[in-house]
Amino acid sequence: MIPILLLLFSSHASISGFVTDASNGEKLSFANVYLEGTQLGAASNEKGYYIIHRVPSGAYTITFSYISYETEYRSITVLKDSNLTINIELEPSSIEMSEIVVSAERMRFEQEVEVSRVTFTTRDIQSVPSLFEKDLIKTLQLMPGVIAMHDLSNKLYVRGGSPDENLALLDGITVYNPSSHLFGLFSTFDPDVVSDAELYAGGFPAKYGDRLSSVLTVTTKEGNSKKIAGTASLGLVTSKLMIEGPIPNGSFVLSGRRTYFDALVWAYSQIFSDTVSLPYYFYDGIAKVNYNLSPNNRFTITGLGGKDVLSFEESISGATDEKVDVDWGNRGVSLRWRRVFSPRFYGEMVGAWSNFSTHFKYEDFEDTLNNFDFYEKIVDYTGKCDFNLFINKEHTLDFGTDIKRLTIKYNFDVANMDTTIEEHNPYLLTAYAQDKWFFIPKVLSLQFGIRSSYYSIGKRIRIDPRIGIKYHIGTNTAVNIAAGKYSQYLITINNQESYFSIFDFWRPVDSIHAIPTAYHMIVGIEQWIDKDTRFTIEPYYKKYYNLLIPHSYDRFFSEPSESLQVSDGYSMGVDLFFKKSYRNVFGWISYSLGYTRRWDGDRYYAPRYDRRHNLNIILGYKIPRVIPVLKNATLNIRWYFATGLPYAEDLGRYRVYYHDQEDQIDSWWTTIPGPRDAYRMPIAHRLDAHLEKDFKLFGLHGTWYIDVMNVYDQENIVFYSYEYYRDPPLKDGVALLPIPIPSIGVSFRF
Amino acid sequence: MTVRRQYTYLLVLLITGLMIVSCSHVDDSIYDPEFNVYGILYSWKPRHEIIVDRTYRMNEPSEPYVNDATVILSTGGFRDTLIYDNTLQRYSSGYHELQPSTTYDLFVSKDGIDTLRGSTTVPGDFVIVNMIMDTLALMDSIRFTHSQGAAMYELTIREPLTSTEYSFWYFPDPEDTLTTVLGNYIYNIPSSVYEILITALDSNYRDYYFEPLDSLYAAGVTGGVGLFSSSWTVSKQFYIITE
Repeated sequence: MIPILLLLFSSHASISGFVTDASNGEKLSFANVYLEGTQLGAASNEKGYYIIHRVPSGAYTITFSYISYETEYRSITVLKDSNLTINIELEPSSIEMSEIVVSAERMRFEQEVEVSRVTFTTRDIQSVPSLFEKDLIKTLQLMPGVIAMHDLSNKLYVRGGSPDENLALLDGITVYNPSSHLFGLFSTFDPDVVSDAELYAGGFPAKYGDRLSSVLTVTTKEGNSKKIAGTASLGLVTSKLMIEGPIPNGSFVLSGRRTYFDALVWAYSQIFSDTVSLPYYFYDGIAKVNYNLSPNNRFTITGLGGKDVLSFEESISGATDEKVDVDWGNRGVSLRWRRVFSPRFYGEMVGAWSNFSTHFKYEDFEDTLNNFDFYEKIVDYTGKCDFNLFINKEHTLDFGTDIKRLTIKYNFDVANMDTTIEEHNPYLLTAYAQDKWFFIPKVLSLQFGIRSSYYSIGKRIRIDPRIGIKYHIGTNTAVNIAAGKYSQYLITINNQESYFSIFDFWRPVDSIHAIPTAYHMIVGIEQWIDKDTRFTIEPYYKKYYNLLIPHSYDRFFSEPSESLQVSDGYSMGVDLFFKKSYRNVFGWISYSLGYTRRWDGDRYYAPRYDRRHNLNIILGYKIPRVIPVLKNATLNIRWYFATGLPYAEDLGRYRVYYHDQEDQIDSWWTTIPGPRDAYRMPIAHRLDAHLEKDFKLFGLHGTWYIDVMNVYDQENIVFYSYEYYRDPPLKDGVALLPIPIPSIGVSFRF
Repeated sequence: MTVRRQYTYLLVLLITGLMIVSCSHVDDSIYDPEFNVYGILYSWKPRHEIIVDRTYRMNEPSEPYVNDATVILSTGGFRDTLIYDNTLQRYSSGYHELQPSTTYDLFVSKDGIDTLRGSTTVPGDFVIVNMIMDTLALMDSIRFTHSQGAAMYELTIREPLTSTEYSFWYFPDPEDTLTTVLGNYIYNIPSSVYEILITALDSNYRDYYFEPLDSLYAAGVTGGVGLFSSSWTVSKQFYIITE
């Protein structure tokens, strides 16, 4: 500790500060900062903070550059043993990017020791073709290592991991069911308010834990600190409003969206005296306020809320006979305090509360003995501190603590008489430390980390080491190696292989079961072919121990099960990613080859999300001015090609006999399922298209878009059903997008 | 050829090779149908019946029951080849009085299909112990001794005049004194003379209908699916007062 303190308060001069967008105050991550005529420089981190160490005293020109922004130059004088703070705002550029400006991705390549990471901005999400609604998770499904179970799935299966192995964080709030909207078809994250999102598909650093497969961090916009601005959007399914603007010493963002099909159907039924109704809607909203107490102290409060509501009644006699009320949703609040203790010591303290609740109530007004009321919730109280200590040019130390208290409550009341209550209150204490060491600057970087946790159930202590190595073979090529141990203390008791699930039922690992554990091993090569062309190849191997998997697997809809099987497993594969932009064309190709296996007690089987090949091609084309009506419009297409998923084919059928009430022998038909993974669905492929164009109307800037999903009418089979009234029964493949489905929308910016 | 081009070709070759060698194997074996039998041996029946059916491939039309199989029911000192009854559409044994606590074997064979074997042990004899009383209030207990090998019981209350029946299942606790209370299960029946039949059923019967199924409805049989089970029934008349 003493050497660290000595380094912290040592007498080298340094330059530090934040890099932000001049138009709205948003942080600019991985901006390039350097002193002209020297080898000294740095990149801003994900918070926009930078520090240049060991600057000799003298006069310099400091340069700040960021792609699509005007490069900023400042003449400065650095005094001996001083710390110079320069917070800079870069103006967005109206002209094409300068040849010498390097992208944030390229800066990350040069600065960070990390593998299996992809970053998305709102713009990326908006440009991907989608069904009715832009969605962050659907965009992430286009990345290497991530697969979707079917055309409408909004779950992330990352490198052979099930969705409950993914940690989702929104501004520090743990989101337990990020894909909860519309029965799992849309995610909780409204893309309009997302600033950027990062997905670690494996090998994630010691700062993150408590999940086995991946980490998704979503950062919302800071809010425009210069002027009131906003976006109003109208789509086929939802309408949205986002407002952002300045407050004294800070900024705010408010956004909300709601589906309105139910209101349209209600209006239709009123006008045409029809009885049709749609008893479902969802809404969500995000509010965020930033307040700068001083240049070195910034407070941010973020609130998240949303709910899906399904409510309907059955009426035969004129009065209500039965009533069903179902609602579920995420809520959360986080308060963050970002403090620059000294130019070299930077920290963020977070207090967060997160809640996901599910409520299902059935009332039978004819016979109240049939009534039931089901309620389940998970509440997460988190307090954490993350610190960055820029020790010197060679070492950056990240360390912190995380205290988590959970309440998981389950109530089931039948006929207002029989109430089953299950409650768990575990807590988890975690500390981590990680050193990034530029062992041979610009050639070899090492990252050592350790994450230690105390889990209250069973009073268990876990130590998870992590290691990362980056070796630059040349200026444009690097080898990345990452390995680590990962533990997960919360599991879900609903089947993660089901085609559809509304929500997950979380439970803490009990004291009789070992903690589910995974070991990751990743070796990747990253190659910058030119400044706009990036290629990565990442073979990986992931070994699982002590997984707790529901016994029943052949479920269409995911349901909770108390019967869990202890399982081991592994997944391995290769992920390839090629991203390029050239004049008016940009896009990427991602390909994943993967093998996933789980142990069922007798043999290794392929779970339903074991997809062998998964290819995504995304192309964007800025239409030139030669087509007047589409001048400056952008066309994006996505083509997808994937191996079919494993399933249990029905091999045969037979009669099951029984004695009926007259003691006569009767029967029904049932099937003989084959091995659960012996067959595969047909190859799936699909083309989607997205066309958007900016326009101006009454002084307002707007964008209209048209999406077409499944352009060439491909039926990707999700499952097979049999029509048993025929003999032999007729086998029918069920596709979720049986026809091309268009959707349109418009948004205005003010 | 430049180094970059060589590198690109190598990469394309590598990826193509990976894709080819990693193509998934799909199980294309054809399912062979098996026998599907249904037979419960009752102590009160003089002749015993077995339905012999088979399973079908999913794309195969179903047929009537199998009527040309060899079906043999046997136990120590008893061996009977069952005859197919066209009227009942099942195989029927000769007259044979079922023996309690005795294991019976079933053998079903036919060319072109795997032989099915079945086995059941008839639950042991038992008695209803409310012998002194012939009148029960609805909430009174009815007691019977344990039937050796019984996994469950079916209790039937039958009104002889109208043949109206009320039935329920009873799963004994191994530690239980085998006492059950009628009023817990049956209510709203008129006061009358009733015949109470208690049928002890073997574990095959329970497994077939009541145990969680992993995959197939098969209990008491190997080499096929279906049920081969046995039961032992005792009865007694009571006058039940329902007030």
